Amino acid sequence: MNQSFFLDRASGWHALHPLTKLAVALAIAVTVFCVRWNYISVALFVFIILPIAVWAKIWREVLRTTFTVILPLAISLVLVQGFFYPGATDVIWQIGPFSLKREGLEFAFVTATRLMVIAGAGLLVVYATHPADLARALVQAGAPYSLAYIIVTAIQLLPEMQARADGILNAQQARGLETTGSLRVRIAAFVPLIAPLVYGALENVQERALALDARAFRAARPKTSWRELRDSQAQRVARVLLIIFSILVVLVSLQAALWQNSPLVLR
Amino acid sequence: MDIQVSELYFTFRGGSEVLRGISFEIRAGSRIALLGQNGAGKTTLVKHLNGLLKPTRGDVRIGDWNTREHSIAQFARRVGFVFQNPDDQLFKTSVAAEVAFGPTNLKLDAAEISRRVGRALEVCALQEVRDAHPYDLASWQRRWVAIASVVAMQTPIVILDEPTTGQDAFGLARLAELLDEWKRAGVTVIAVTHDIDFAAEQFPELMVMAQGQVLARGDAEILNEPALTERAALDAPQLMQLARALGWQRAPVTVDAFCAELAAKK
Repeated sequence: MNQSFFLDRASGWHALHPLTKLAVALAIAVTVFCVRWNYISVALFVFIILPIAVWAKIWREVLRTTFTVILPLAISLVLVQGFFYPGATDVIWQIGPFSLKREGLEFAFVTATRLMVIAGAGLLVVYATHPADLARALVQAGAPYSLAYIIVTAIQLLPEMQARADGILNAQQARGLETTGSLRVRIAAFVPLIAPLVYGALENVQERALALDARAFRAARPKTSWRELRDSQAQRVARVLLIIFSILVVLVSLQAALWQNSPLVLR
Repeated sequence: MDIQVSELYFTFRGGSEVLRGISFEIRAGSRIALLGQNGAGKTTLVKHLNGLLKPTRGDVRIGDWNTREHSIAQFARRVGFVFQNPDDQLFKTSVAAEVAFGPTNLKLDAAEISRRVGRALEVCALQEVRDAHPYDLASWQRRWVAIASVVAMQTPIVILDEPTTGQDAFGLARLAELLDEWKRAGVTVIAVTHDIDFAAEQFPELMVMAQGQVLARGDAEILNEPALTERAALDAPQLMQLARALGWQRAPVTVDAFCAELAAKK
């Protein structure tokens, strides 16, 4: 089983320098939070994220993961915010003592679609970048080696934990543990499923520390890398432009928030 | 309780077909070792025997139960499963409590549970550490805790996934004793293993798998067929190789049988 999110496909997006991909994701994330138009998230998803995902040949995975993560969140947002958004008055639908209000739904929609864009942009990076390349790029950009390691480990650890969780579920069910059914059954199943995962993770930390020390991780000298990153003048320029763009978007939206009459405020 | 596997096909969600048309029957009380190289489908196959995996096509029946129709937890009454990695299951704060977990799930009364736990600890030589925390034990001992936790469930069928991993000569001898114990009790034992010497010596029946299919089934003599061992990428047991190198016609696989043959030759 593949122990990281990386999907090794031949595409122009994959071949880009990791920092270029990160800069694109940053620009998308900044835009989605700064532009105060209710449909900016949908527009970004449809016109930026999806085309890139198709180009990178990872659109199936990006769509599947984005929606499996966002859908449950979106449903709870609609229910909670739709009915209980503070200060909302515009009632759309009355059911018993509860009333569904427009402002709440709007807030739920904006929040859910924003999260969708953040998830999509993040997946564009992690699905199309080998973790080692990401670490290398961060170090080359001046990040401390240990920080790069922490970021990469976090990305790699999730699928590993998932595989272990599956193994634990199998092992406990095989010893007669019921994991489906009433709420009480599910709560009772919690400790037998979580405890081995936590014990295992703690043990894993110790083993990792030993393995790292055995390879002189803490040696205070520059490290060589097995993988080589390809960069280009065009990409360097593009990165600078994307970062300038992100900063501008933030500044303009701050100004808009202060004076309430910027062209970016469409509502 | 008999096991019946008919026309079993299994494809993982990613799309790779791991089991390709497997049919066999295992009678109650049989003891079978499942051999084959990595990726042959051994573990995938045994995970079908207690419903952890459901067939993509075909059927698996344990006694009168089809694995499609009962939960894994229900199958825990019929099939005990010792996994490769004991750390995937240990969560109690003492060895005895860990061993009691399975019987408790079977809703037995307290006296019966403590009787079974005591017996399982005895069989697995864990009495001295019964109050120890499982994570304070060495990894080979944790394997024994996992084995004991399945012994205590007293299922008519037991599956062992790579039981010899990390066991020294003492551990192997204890494992052989446990197999004898199960034999006396009429328990069906199915072991997935890479240890071909252990398999040939301890199991009256072997089943050889490659590429998702069963190539052969029979006693250790089937390993004396170079065409088969080559196709399954297995080495013949060491004693068998030695007998062949000596130019013997027969190929004993236990030390006793080998010595007897040697004495007869003199």
